[in-house]
Parts: sequence; C-alpha cells; structure tokens
Amino acid sequence: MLNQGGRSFSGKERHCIFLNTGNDPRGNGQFANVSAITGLDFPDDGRAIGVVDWDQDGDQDLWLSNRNAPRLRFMRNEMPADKNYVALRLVGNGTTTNHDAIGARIEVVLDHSHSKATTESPAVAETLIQSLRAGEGFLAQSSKWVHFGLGDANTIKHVAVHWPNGKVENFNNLKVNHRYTLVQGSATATEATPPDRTIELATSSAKKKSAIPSMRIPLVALLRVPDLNYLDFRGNRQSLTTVSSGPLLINLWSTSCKPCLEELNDFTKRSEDIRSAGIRIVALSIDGLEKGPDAADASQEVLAKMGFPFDAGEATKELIQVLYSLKKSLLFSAQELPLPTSFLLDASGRLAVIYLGPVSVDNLLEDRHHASLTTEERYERSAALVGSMLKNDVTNKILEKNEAIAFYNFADSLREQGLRREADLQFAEAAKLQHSSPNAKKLVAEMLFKWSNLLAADENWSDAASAARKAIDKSPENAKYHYNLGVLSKRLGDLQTAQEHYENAIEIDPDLISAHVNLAMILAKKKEWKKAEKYFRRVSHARPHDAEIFYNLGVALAEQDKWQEASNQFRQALKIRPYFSQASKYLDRAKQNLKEEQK
Amino acid sequence: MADCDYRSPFWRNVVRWGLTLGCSALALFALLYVAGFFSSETSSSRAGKDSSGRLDVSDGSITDPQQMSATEIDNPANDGWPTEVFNNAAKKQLKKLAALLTQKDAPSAQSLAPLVTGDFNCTPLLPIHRETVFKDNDFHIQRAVTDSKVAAGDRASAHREYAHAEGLSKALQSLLNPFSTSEELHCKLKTFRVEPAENHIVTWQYFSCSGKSKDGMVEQHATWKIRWTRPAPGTAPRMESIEVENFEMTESHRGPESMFVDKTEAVLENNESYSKQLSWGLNRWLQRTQERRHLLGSPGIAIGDVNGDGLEDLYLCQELGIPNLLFIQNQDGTLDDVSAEWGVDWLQHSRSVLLLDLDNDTDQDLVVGFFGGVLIASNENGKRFKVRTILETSEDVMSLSAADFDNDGDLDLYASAYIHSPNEVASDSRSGNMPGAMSNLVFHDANTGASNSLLRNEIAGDDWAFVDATLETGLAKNNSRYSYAAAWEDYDNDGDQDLYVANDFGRDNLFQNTDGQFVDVGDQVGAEDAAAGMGITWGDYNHDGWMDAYISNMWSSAGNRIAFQPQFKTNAPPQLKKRIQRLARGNTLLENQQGQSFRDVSAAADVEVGRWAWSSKFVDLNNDSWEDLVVANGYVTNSNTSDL
Repeated sequence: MLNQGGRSFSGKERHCIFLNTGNDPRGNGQFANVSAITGLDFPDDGRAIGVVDWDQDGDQDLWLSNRNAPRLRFMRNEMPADKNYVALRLVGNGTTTNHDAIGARIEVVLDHSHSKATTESPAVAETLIQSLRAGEGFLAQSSKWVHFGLGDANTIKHVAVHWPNGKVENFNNLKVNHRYTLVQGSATATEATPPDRTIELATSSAKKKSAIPSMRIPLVALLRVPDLNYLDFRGNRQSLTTVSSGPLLINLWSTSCKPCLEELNDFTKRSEDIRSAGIRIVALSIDGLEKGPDAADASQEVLAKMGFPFDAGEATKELIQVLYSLKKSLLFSAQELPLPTSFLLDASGRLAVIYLGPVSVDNLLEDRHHASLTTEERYERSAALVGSMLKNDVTNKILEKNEAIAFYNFADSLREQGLRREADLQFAEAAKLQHSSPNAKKLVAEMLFKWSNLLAADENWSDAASAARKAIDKSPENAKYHYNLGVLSKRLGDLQTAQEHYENAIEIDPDLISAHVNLAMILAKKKEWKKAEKYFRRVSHARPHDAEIFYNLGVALAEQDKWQEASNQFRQALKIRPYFSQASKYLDRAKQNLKEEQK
Repeated sequence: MADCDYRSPFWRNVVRWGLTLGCSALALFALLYVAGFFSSETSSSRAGKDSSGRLDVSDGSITDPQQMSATEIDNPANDGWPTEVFNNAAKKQLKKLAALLTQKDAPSAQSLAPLVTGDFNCTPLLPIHRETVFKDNDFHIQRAVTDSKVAAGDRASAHREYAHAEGLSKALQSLLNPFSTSEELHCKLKTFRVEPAENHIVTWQYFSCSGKSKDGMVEQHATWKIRWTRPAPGTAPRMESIEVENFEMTESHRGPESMFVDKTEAVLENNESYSKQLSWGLNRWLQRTQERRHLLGSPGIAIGDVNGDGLEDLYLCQELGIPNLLFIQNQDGTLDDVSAEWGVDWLQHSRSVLLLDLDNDTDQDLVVGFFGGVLIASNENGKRFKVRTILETSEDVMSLSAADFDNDGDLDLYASAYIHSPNEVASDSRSGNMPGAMSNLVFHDANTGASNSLLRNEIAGDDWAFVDATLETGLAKNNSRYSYAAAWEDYDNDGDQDLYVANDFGRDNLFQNTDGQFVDVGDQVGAEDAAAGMGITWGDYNHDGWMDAYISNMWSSAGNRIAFQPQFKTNAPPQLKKRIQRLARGNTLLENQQGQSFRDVSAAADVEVGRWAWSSKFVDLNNDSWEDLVVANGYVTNSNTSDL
C-alpha cells in the first residue's frame, strides 16, 4: 500500500554530488562529497537530470525533475569563470550520418604548455573525450551541445570528431571559452554567435503551499452501486438505491464539520435548480456511528433549522464500508473518506462521480450527464487538469484495461467482504463490458471465471456454467475455463458438452492431466473404450502412483477384449495398492478369459 | 488470480506481506530471510527457532498483514530482528546527539552525559592529522590521514584527552569549530551496520554536517564506529566509545551562495502551469487518479531546440491525467508553456521523452514513451508536433535512448520496460502492481520483467515507420529483466554503438554491437553489476580515453544493516549471500579497462552511497575537465514519514 496509504519509503533523501578530485595524488582516485556545497542536496524524490548550458555562459546548468513538489528545478551554475571550456554543436550530413550526430565521439586535444594553474594538481591529459548521447541516466535527455571543461588548459591543438559512421574529421583553430558549430565534411569550426541577451533570474523563494483543495472526480469505470440502506431519523431502515427516477447524490456529513454545513446550506439555497435538473439528494449524517442513537435528533435539528428540503438520515456502517470499497476500487489512493464526501449515481444506479470535499452545485448540475458520455469523453473529464487525450488503438487498450481492473477490484473486494449478492451483481455487470483489446477481454474473462467458481461453491451449477461460458467467450484460449465448464456440464448431466470442453482444454494445454482423467471417465461411461484407453494411458504416465488409473485403464482394455494388456494394468494397480479388491476381482476375470482363449 | 490457486497460503501471505510494505528494503530482506528463499525446500520451509539462540525468529505463523496497521508492520520486534529493535533505540540516542550539535553552543558535558557511559572515550572527532587532497579556487578538501601514517604515540595521547562526557564535549567542540561562523547547520547520523557482540553492540554510521556562513560553506562527512552497552529492557543504550574510521571536510570560500542556485521560479513563474501543476507533487494527483499501475513518479525530461532559434527548450512528461508540458525558452532565459499550441499536452501516463531529428530534415522531432507504447511525432516547421505513429511495445515503458545502431544514417530507438503484464494477471488491488506484486520474483536475479524493444527507423517520405528489430539483432536474449534505463556508448572504441541496460533486481546487460548484431557480454567483461539498477551514465572519469560507466542502484541503510548480520541467511551459500548483500550496496563505478573488461572501483572511488538513486549523470560541474557525478535520489516521500 506504499504510496496509496500515504507512507514514506527512503523518503527525504538528499541528492548526492561527488566531485572528481582528478589526478591529485593525495586524492587517491577518491571522489569528494560536495552535496551541500553545490547546493544540489535537495531532499526531493528526484528522478531525471538534464544537463545544459542554459544561459550559454560557459558552464553546465541542471534541470532536475521530481516525483514530489516542485516537479521541476532549474539550477543555475554560478561558479566563477576561472577555468576554461569549449562547447561544440555537431551537425551530421543527414545521409550517412544522422543530422544530430548522436553517437559521435569527440576528442579535444590540448596543449598544456601555456596553462596557468588554478588547481594545485591540474589535469595533464593531452586528450579529453566526450560522446554525444540521446537518453541517459533515468528518463532524461540532456542538451546536444557537447561541453568540455578544460581546466587550466588554454590552448586547443585541434578537435577530432569520430562521426557515428566511423569517419574521423579534424577541426582546427578553436579557441578556449568559445562555442562552435562543427559541420560534417566542412573541416571548419564555425563560431556560434552568442545570442544577444541578458539573463537575470531571481533566486526561488521557499513557499509553503496551502492544503489540497476539494476534489471532484468524474469516473471512467461506471460501477454498479449495490443496494444500500440507511436509517431515517426514526431509526427505520430505508433503501437508497432501489427507487430512482434520476441521478442521486449520496452526501456524507457530520454536525461537527463546518464545510459540510456550508455545503448543505448551498444545496438548500439552490434546491430548485437541483430539483429541476432531476437530481435527488440524500444527506446522511455519520454522527450516529460515533455517538450512538442519540445523535439522530441533533442531526435532524440542524437540518430542520436550515430548512433542508431533501431526504436525510443516518449512515450505517455497511453503507460506509461499501462506499469506501467503491472508492478504493476506483482510485489509486487508499486514503479514507474525508468529510464531506459525496457520491453521484446515475438513474440506473451506476456511480458516476466522487466528490472528496464540498460539492459545488454548478459542478453537480454539469455532472448529471457524465455517465451517458463515451469512455473517451469520461476519460477526458476525469483528468485532473486540462489537456488532450491521444486517440488511438494502442492508447485505447490501456484505457479499457483500466476500466476492467476497476470492475475486477470492486467485485473482488465485495466478495472478500462476504457481500455475495452484491458481488454477483457486479460480476454480471462486468460481463457486459464491451472491450475490444485482448488484454481487457482476458481480464474480464478471469473475473468471470472467478465468479463461476464462487457460484460453483454455492452448488449453483447452471449459473456457474453460464459464467464459465461467458469467460470462454471473452477468452477462448484458456484451458482452465474449458476444464471448469467441462466439470460443470457434467454436473448438469450434459456429457456431450463436458466432453467437448475437456477436449478443448487438452488441446490448449496437453499437460492438463485432470482434464484427461475426466474426459476418459466420460468416454468410459459412453463405452467409447478405445478412446478412453488412450486418455487413461496418458494419465498413467503422469500419475504412476495412482492405482485407480491403472485399474481404469485395465477396464478399458478388458472391454476391448485386450485381456493380456488388461491383466498387466490390474497387476500394476495391485502393486500400488495390494488390497484393491475390484482390481483383483477383475484380474481373476482376465486370467479366466486368457485361459479360455488359450483353449 | 489464477496463480494464487496453486500457491500455498503461507507463501501467499509472505508475498502479500512484502507487497504491503512495497519495495522497502527491510521488507525485501526480511522476506528473503523468512521465506528461506534459497534453501532447496520450497515454500513450506520456514525459519524456525535458531538453535544457537542468537536470534529468535517467529515460527512462521504470520498474522494476515492486511489486518495489521502500518505501525505494527514496521515494528521490527514482530519481525524477529532484535538488531533492528536495537537500532531503533540507538537511533533515538543519535537523534538527540545530532540535535545537540546544531544548537548555538557546542554541547556541554552535562547534556551529553545521558548518552554515554561513565568510562566513555573517543578518538578526536575532528582528526588532528589531516591532509589536503584537492585544492583550487573553489574547493579545499581535506581528509584524515590513515592511522598507519601517524606515529603510535601520537595516536594514544590523542585518545586520552577525550574521555567521559567531558571528553566527548571537547571532541565535538573541535569538530564544530569550522562551523563557528555558520548560520545554518545541518547534522545527521545514519546507521548502516549493526554488529552484536557478547557484552556490547557495535554500530557504524555515516556522519554528515554542513553549514553556511557569510564567507562560504563547509561540509564534513565521516564514518563513526560506535560501541554501545547492551541495554536492559526499557532502558536506552549508551555509547561506550566512538572511533572515527574516515573523515573528509570540504570548504569553499566564495561567500554565502552555493555553487548552484535555484532559479526555477524566475524561469517558470509566468506560466499558469507552474503554480497549478509544477508546484504540486504527484501525491496531490494520486489522490484522484484512476490509473493504478506503477505510479512511482516518472517525470521524464528532454532538452532540445524545438523552434530552431538557437535556444534550448524543455519537454516534461507527466503521469495520467496531468498533461505533458512543452516550454520554449525566451531570450531572457525564461520559459513559455506552449504545450496546447504545439499539440503535445497529452494526458496519457507518460514517462520519457527524446527530442531528435528522426527524418534528417534538420529540425527536432519528438518521441514520447508512455504506459502502453512509444509515440513518434514530427516537427512541423518549428510550430507544432504532428503525431505520426504510436508503437505498441511492452506496457511499462521507462527510459528511451536513441542511436544509429546499424550506421545507416538515421536514428533508431531503444525503449526499456519494467513490469511484464501478462494478460491473465490482473492488478492486485493491494499492490497497485508494484514490482513486488510479481509472483516468483527472485529478488537478486529476476527474469520475469517486461521485454525491451529496439525500434529501427524506416522512415520513408511521409511514411514514418519503425520496425521492431529486437529479435533479429540478438537483443531478445536476456531481455526479460526489470529495466529502468539504457544508454548507448562505444565502450570498446570500435566505431559502433554498444548498449548498457540497467536492470532492477539483478544483472544488467552490456550488449556489444558487431555489424548491427548484439551479444550480451555483461558477465564476460565484468559489467553485469547485479543489483537494483535504475540508471546509467557514461564518462571518461579518469582521462584514459575509454568510457567508464556509472550505474544508479539502491543504497539502503536498512538493507545494509540486515544483509550484513552474521545471522542473515546463515544457510545460504556464500556467493548467494554476497549477491543479496550486493543488492543494497549502492551505486557502481565501472572503470573501462581499454575496452577489454570493466573493473568495479566504486568503493575506492567512494561513490557507492547514492541512496535510492534514479538518474545519475557524469557532468563536469566546475569545468576542471574531470567528470563529476550528480545523483538524484529518493523513493517516495509522503507526509507520514514513518520511514526505515
């Protein structure tokens, strides 16, 4: 529940910056930890790092991205310019070399004889190398400008570019502390004119953010809300969801919650708008859950004072439980329900919108048609922010799978809570999902399979069989489904169908031994001994310690008058289980027959 | 789920238990321990009472973790890790010590007395014998001279001065002396190893302190070995001695500004998307998102000049329901949000992005890796992007990297992918499809991840075709790891592009390219770095003309504490034990041996502790021609910080 439950793991870790101490012999090849001095040691959940000389002032600036806030950081390098650099932009010919020259290796060859040391142990390497890469680190691409820090060296002998196709080209006459464009085949480094600009950027202030505002969450997957009950203020159980001529807003509130009261006031003031839009509201106080039956009067009084014109009552524990499972099945976050929370159902009892925090009446009016929109439209509305949806087969598959997962989760959580009837309804609803993507279909199939098993556990064989059949419709290539439908059909006395599905199961998964056993039994029952023999034989190889299989194989052989072989099988059965009376009886019979044959 | 039907209930509990904790290192290691992962027996094997009596492990009857609250799950006493219980007690004491350090005055003997025993002693915490190891105009770096270089008599006399609480007070006073003018002082102690002995317990911790003053900044990093009393139940442990094992101090004298200064606000504040989106973390959007899969935060970025004005622009990927953003740089260095105008404000769950010239027409095209596939869009006259194709790859696409692997003059793409989502497997409502959700995950050598794809560029005129060339190029081998990132580089200097793939839960790949055909030589050349790989960067860090690799991994103090216990996996073969210990050891620097092999120099270079590291990047921060390293880390920070 990491993340969903709001806990931290390896959180608030500070970024690490290691300074290369170069060839100073005292440094011993060991980097130094300069995390704090560089000012980069943020406790952010860091992800990508992009390197670029953003302000083109001759040093490397950084863009960092984070999981948490702020999602982006621009870190300007403000080192004094006491060391030298050269920056190069490569241009490939666009035919034998990609135009960006990604993959090029660049060598800068230096002359150190005129260097003025600013470092106690300056670099002395004659050649420095860099490569031009696209995509490095994690989720990051840096600038295509190739930047060489040159240390104290102030003379560049030449620059050699190994273009990605293997050709090497030298560029001469480059000066330190300049930016150049190197065009393939030109052998000339062109100085890049620095743009005429001044960059003055203020340092960021550390601002505190306010609390997360309330959330209106139009849903993509439209789950059927199970039948729910609440208590009216007289303590009588009332059904919430059975009678509905239009959308229904279930609102959870408490007398001690100020935003709740303001919200109920809003509903009251605009009751005409709400009513004429055909929306019904039921405001359910949760106070009774905490304070007991006495709380009802107080809640009723608050509403009476307000002149609240809609239905009201008290929430039950079961109702909260189901609403919470709904939210948890639909949303990533496992956060508890805040107050107020509202659920908008469409006229046919499907959950369309969740409101965490107060509902604005205008939003509510807009949302009453949400459930009648297409999946894509619902997706677009469900986004936290404005943007555009990619519409394409590949992206649709992901959307469909998400929808299937929501159904799966909810049906399963109802099942886990022991709410069988509600779970059944949900599974039935899921069966209606019309998905084109194979992944989503398979997911729904798995759900139906699960449902079938539940129904079978209740000995409701015909419904179980029909669920299994639906699973096969969605995903015909699953041996497990065929096998189960085989078992169920046999229970229902339909041997022919059972046989077909066992055969299908074996075709898909030849190693499914139980299917062989059951199929062989059916064939035996139908006195198709030759075929039965074939399957029993396969099973006997897979289960060499199962006496009954050898016995059955023996019978199948005996029925074909293959007495010699049959007696071998009965002997094998008796070897495994010496007091197997049926086997020994049959063996006697076999011996008898063999004697007669000899005569 | 189908697979569960065939799993024993015990095993399922263990798996769920791991899931509930996510991938926290403690869970990971405790999981391996409890489940007896490497014994030859199957799921029924359990760690029973240890006959030697060193450590009590519960008899395997695990409470259903779904019924446990978060704090219960975190209580190491329940997990049977007495050393973790001790660590929690010691942590409280160390926290008190760290708090005393950041007070205005150096801590007095009186305030330290409750933390130490009567016969406490320590070595000088600011080592007397130090030498400069690097010096230029910006940095002055000193380290402690190793004991062997100091005369024995000097060592002994130094010790005697620092006895009792008074001695500790004195030692701390001199340690903090370099910070005397600092206004902001941050100090931290993090325990990474616990070793119980007969009458005491020894812990090792990283000590760090940094401060800022008008003149400049100072930071200290050290490893302290602390010997503690074995506490009676209900009492706090006390320190018997502190020994400094290594010490480094860096000073800069360039005023109060750090080397890098945060200018984010100035660059972005003119955009609505800054205040409405970027100043909020993913947690806000997770409250409402209906996507449930692998939401660990994936804000990929790319830098490139999309409108051809010579100034670099920026593209940012965001998760489901929050739009991707494209910013164009103005002359004054600030950015303008043009996402909608350019038609790239997609709400799909995006991870990574590249700006490249795919059709060699001199402008920058766009590649976006999102949950489900890879999108290719062309740059239309520096005014907008037009979607050309969306390629279906493994769902869980992570980093992208491009190169012309077949040297035919155009750029090909490689998409790394993490979790394999087989069709039958539904999302587990509890896991959000976290990596731990995969059944049969072998943590140290997982081979059940998603396949990565090599997409060959076959653009011809208006037909923007890319062909999956993974199989035909040999890259389908060893291609079911949990891959987070890959980077191309010609490591053997033979003129073509080789590929390093960083994989979580096990071995990395180094694919050597020969005429466009790849062979995984990771094992052969010593580059497989079997750990929790998350990022990869290349650079010639030692100026020898060969590219070296630095790989981001996970460094976890809890993982280190547990995996190095003598009783951790007592029955495991030493090699396996080493592999598991390796998992939490941290980042790796592989020194290229002239293209023939790689030498792991991480420890000597002291670049292992990058914490829970994602991007790492070689970059010469100070223009001295030596590649430095920047490591972005941190897994998940939430308001509730009951962390390990």
